[in-house]
Amino acid sequence: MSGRGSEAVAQRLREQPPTLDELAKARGERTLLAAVKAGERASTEGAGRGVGRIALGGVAALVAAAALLALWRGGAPTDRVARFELREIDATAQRGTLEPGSVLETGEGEVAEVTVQESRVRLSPGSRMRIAALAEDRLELELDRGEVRVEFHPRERGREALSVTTAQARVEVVGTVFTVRAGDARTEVSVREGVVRVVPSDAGEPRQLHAGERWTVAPRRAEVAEPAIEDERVPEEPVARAEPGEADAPDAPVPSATVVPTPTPAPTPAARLATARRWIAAGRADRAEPELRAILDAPAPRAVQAEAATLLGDLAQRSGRLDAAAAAYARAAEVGTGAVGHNAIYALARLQERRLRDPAAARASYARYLAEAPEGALSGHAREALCRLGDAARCEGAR
Amino acid sequence: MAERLVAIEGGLSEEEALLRDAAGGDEAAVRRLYQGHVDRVHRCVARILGPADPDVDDVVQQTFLAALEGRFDGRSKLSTWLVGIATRRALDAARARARRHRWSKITEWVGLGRPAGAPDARHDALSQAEAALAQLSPEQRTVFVLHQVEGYTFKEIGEMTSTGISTLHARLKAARRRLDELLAEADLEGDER
Repeated sequence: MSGRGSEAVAQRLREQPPTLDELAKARGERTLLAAVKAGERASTEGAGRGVGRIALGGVAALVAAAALLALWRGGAPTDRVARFELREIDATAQRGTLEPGSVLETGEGEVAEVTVQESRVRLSPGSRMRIAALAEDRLELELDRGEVRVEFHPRERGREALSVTTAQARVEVVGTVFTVRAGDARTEVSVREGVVRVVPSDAGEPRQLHAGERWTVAPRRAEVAEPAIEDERVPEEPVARAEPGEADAPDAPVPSATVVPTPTPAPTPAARLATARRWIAAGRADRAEPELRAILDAPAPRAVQAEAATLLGDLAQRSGRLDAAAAAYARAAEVGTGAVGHNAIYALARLQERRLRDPAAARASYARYLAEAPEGALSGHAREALCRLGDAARCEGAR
Repeated sequence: MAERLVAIEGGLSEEEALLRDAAGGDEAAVRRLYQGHVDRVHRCVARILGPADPDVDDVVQQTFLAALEGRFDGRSKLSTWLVGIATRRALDAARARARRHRWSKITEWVGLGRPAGAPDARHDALSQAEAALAQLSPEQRTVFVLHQVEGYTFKEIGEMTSTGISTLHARLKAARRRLDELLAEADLEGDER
């Protein structure tokens, strides 16, 4: 900025205005609506000239304003915003935001979609779901009836958890795509990507379901095991057990009853991956990394390779080995298909933008994400990033 | 279309009608008001307080609450009127902070001389600009942001802040001079390194 003085300052500020992200906007809108409904008043500070007199309605208003301020500052029970859109075929009927305790119900011929940050929940026709908890580190849903499909993409793997509870079971997850169908007397869970943990509500044995597996939970432990959808089933293995009802947050203290992972005689790549995940959950990256590298050094299904490379990237990034992280994400993007591959591209782009500070590389990676997943769960964020990085040609459609 | 007819029949501009409906608790109107203006209001507040300031969100929220209770006479654009409210509230917050001696800490946080990450000329230049801006008094910063960055006229800024135009001119001149000095110093330090 040498020698250009105040005009250079003005120019820089004009070029890069401070922006408000979608989440902050949604939170602000919701808080404002709540304030209007409650008849809140603005504080008197700064309200003078040109605004007219701002009347305060006594102590009650002050108390309410304080509560409102606390809500705005993030001291509220919710740190995240759930947006929903309820629609009939080809027509949006209603949209808005959801709070903890909100119930969303779809009639016949209606579907609803709820988005929370980068995750998406689709409610099928004739379903009823309640938001039980909506916090920074967890999203808890209760499915009374019908079917819900979940695409859970935590911003930082292992830091956020999601669960879906039905009358028969609780399904816990740390990052995956799966479907829960709640019938009158049984709950069916099928997993498309990643791993979920199903805890029967009758204190039956919890079970981990991997990509391609499906499990039906019925009362009295009359579970019906069904064949895998795909051919990447993981053999039975030790499970990190927790008492029914206990949260399975990955970064929570390891339950005392945890079974330490034990190597199987001839571990398959998928078994190695599951073992690595348990080591990560136990905070032992040093033990997880050799397992993950072993997967990448030997023949393995592409989906397993992609998951392993992504996890390696996450671990490398957390420990500050940024070049290694970029290489791992690039590998995951190369071998991964579907959402796993797309997410790896996005992870690489974000790393390049925010940690490596390489805008040219980041632009290329975000553009690649959009080329491969134009309607992907992160496409809006990718477009925003391209705008932020000055790629005007791809700004169109950014949120 | 029906909404427009109602507004015309009632002798109100569309913007006045929107504000009236929002103030009356019409949820859709509140949403439209917020969505239509929050970016501009936020930008103004973040400029005056600094983008990393913890009070930015509060001031934005208070601006909209105040607007719903205020008197918009339609003589200016609704957006200008809202920015006026935002400006006054941001100034109050900045002055309060100056009284608490917090500004210097925030300046250090966002500002000149912070440890650099990997080279990123665009980002560094912005940080330098924001840090230099933070060195101005709240009044100087306000007139510089509104006039030089956001493009408001002195007349509009005068109405927003109830300040005479000659005073605004003097503040802007002082702001420019101070920024020139700060950037010259920064260049000198950079050359020495």
